[in-house]
Amino acid sequence: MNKIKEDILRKIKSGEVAMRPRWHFVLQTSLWSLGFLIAFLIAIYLLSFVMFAFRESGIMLAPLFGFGGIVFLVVNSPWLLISLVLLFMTVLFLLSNHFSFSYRRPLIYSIIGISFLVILISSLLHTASIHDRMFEFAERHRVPGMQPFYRQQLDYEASGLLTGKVIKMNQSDIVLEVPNGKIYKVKLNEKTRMPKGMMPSVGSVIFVAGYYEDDTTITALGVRLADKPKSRMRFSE
Amino acid sequence: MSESMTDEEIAKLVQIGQVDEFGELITRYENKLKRYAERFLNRPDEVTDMVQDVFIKAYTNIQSFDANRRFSPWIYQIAHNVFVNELRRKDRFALAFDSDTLFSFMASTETADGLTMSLEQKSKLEAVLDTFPLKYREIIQLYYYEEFSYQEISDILKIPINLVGVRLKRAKDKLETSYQNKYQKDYE
Repeated sequence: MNKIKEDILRKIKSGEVAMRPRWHFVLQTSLWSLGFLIAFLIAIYLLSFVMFAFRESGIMLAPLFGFGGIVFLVVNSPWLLISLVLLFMTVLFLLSNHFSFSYRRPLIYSIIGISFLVILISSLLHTASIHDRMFEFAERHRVPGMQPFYRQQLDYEASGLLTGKVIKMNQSDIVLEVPNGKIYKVKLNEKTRMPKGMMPSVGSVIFVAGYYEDDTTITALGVRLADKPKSRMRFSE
Repeated sequence: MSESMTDEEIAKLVQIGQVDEFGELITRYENKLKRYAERFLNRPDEVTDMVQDVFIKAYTNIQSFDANRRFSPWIYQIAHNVFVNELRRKDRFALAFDSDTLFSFMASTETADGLTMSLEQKSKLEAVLDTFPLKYREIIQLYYYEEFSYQEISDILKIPINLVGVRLKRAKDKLETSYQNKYQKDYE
């Protein structure tokens, strides 16, 4: 008997080397699949949330306000959430490489396929207003963790993006009440991009993007009418 | 008795507890895996230890083997992983990411009969092959010497099937060029 064979059979018989049971491999495969599924769900949750945050905050309207608006969008985008989406998608690409359906094809196919699926499902969830409902649910039931998370992620007030109801307005100023009851003076100048067509009037709900002059005064880059009063935009009549 | 059995039948016996039968698998694969390790590691003094490690891992994980599939790609996959880990242990950057994994769309039409040769040519060819980068040495070994299919090589190396063809084509071209340069007269 040769040395390798002799050594190995001796180790097996002495119990030094043991066979792993079948359930170990079943569990291992299940954990890979579960990990993939969890990463997939987290990625679509986060991406649909980014879409929701863009729409709900009105920040996606910022590019309509010219170059300053584009800079505003770039500076104030939810980069942490976007980075998390990219992180989880990378985790998905890495996990998918464990499965033959993925590694047998060029990596670019997996990247395109997984990205397409994540974007498609996230868009469907966004269209189905899943986060509107979750946010409403969190608000109504004051769900710990969830309510502060949604509020924090949608709060662009400090960044200079306001959504509120027009209390008073003239050629150069708008007095705006935001949902938390705070009153802001919005200054308009010749560079401010106003909505084309229908102009805001007292009682309109509008988005304003701009830069603070002081705590309660903001110079507007642009103003847009909000398409519809958002669920969280509850103002005292 | 086990000499007349297929590898898969023997592996099945080991799975149900006839551990002595594992010795037959060692007999059948020891030299093949040593040859693979020599090609892979280029360090003859470590070959025996590495191959022993492969058999130990194969025994430990034998319950993960699906007896409806071929045994040899399965044990070569283990060997590949053991050798890769050994190379990485010694040099973290020994195996860089291959960008071809990302875009390997080229249709592969390479066939084994494209590299027929005499024994003398074969030994000269092996001398040339030893100077090649690992990714070419390994693919030539698996395809021409161990005679695995593209899909089996894809499963062993965990790379796209198209990339197997691409690497084989490049390895073969490189081999022919290097062989001609080194043994010009013999070749003519």
